[in-house]
Amino acid sequence: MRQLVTTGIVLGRTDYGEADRILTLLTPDHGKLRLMAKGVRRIKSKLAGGIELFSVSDVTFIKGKSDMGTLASSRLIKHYGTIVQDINRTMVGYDLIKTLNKATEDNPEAEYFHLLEQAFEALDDAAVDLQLVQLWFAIQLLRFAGHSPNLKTDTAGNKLDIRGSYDFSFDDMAFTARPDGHFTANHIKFLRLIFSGNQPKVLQKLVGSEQLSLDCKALVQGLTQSVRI
Amino acid sequence: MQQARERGVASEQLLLSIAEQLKMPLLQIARRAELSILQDSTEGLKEMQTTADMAIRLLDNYLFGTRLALESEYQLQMEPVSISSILYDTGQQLDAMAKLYGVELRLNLGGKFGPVMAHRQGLQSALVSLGYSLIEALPSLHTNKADTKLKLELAAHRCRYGVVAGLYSEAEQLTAEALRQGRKLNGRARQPLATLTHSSGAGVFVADAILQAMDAELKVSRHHNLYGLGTILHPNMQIQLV
Amino acid sequence: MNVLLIEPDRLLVQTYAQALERDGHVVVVVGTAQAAIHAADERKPELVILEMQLVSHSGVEFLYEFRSYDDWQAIPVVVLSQVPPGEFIDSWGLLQGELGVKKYLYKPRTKLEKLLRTIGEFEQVKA
Repeated sequence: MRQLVTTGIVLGRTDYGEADRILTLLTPDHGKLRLMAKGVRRIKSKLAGGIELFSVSDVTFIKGKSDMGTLASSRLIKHYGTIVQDINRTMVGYDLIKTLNKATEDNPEAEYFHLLEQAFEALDDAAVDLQLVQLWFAIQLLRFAGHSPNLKTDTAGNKLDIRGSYDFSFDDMAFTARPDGHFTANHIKFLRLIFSGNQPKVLQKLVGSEQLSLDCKALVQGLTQSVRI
Repeated sequence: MQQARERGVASEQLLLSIAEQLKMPLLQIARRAELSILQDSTEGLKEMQTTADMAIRLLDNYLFGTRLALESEYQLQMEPVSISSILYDTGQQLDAMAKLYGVELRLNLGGKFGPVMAHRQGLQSALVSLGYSLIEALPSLHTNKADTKLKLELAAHRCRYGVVAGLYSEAEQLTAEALRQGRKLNGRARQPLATLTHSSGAGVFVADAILQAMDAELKVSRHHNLYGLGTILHPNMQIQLV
Repeated sequence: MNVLLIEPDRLLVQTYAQALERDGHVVVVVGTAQAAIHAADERKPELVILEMQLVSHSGVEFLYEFRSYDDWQAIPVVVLSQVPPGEFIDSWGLLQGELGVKKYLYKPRTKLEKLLRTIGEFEQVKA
């Protein structure tokens, strides 16, 4: 029996037996870690700190012979308290957790942990637009899965024109030049910045970022659906 | 130009949060009326009247506050006013509603205060708006102490800079941090004061706007062992010279 | 039915509770998410009516906590809220799925009669 320490974010909880809970944590080193927390269920006062939702903790656990470890202790490192104060942010935050959980298998790379942490950072900042965070998150998931669209050349192989207008072709995963296209150079530049991994806080500073986020929402939703993440 | 734009945005936010806030009294009246009809009784008429009167009063205060936020040239005539009379009148305006919410209003004027310089209507509107928000919020802030009566104290006390007049309760959630966060979130979130109230807290921001226009400031304040919101008022030096 | 009513406004809660009681339901009234968890623990409700906009911990947090306990999974939740349903449009799947919201009633458009009718439907399902 070894005692191990790791950092984790709670993805979900389920009951076990009379008084126990099973926590599923997303960690950078152990992927999705399932830990048994013994005797915690009768203390139905979890809301007191709101600690499990939107927190990063250091957990010490005992790895037994079976697949599941036992939680020995936990220490809160950071609780993103602003998120729960706003109902829309809470909803989006919870949605991101669920989306990430569904999009990953048991052993996701460390980048998924950092993505979720960064998402919480962004949500915790009242100055960052919610739509932007949602868009950014969906795009990072696409990126990690290797599903980035072509943002350099259009479907005819030409470099994207600063004065052009475009529509997106899902079949080609690229933009097609169209006279009345819905997307402009600004949209494409915006998408490039997000696909290169810039943080929401930085993106928020761009002029018109909120409108751009809104305009690109359907496109990114389409991309997500078309690759079935 | 930038200032004018900022002021425009500020008043738009104020109006939105006011509209949100005023839905509540109307909803309360509509549903209470429906219940009375279902019960085939006139019970509830007094409650509806109180709620309607409060809503009208609030609307008046909110409109006044918005006008101040909108018009930079709106000059407020400052005059010597009696703190005790302002607090007393505030109490009168809030009393019926407070009773409906199960909140006991208390007037606490420890000591005699000379007149202070203020705009009477402005100060009154600010305090009534503030009071309503607190009355609405108090029942949810005290769920752990089910048997203690909810109290809201209208009080004044001296401080280094003048006299602090405000509203106080046992709600420890009323912190400077909560107010600071609230001002930041105003217009950006449904509940800028989520740790204090389930509502949009429009009354607090209206009071904020009115006091700012009076060159005063809404501040978190402690009074004995109570937590509250108030403002610093300055004694009328002229009378003192005489 | 045993109904747990989560409503922060003192005046509204009395009106809603009286209407439900008049219709034969047994109503437990709370004003916060925390109190709701405690109340459900003390006496398991058959249905929960929930205002999403609460002080400190929202209805979302309540649902997150509530749905994480096996013995509360099957309890239907009817949202009766001042938050327009459109605000949750992006998370509708989550709300109806994992968070188990069976019906979303928007307060300004929900008269007592509609509320009682909706609760009544759950009673029939139970029977």
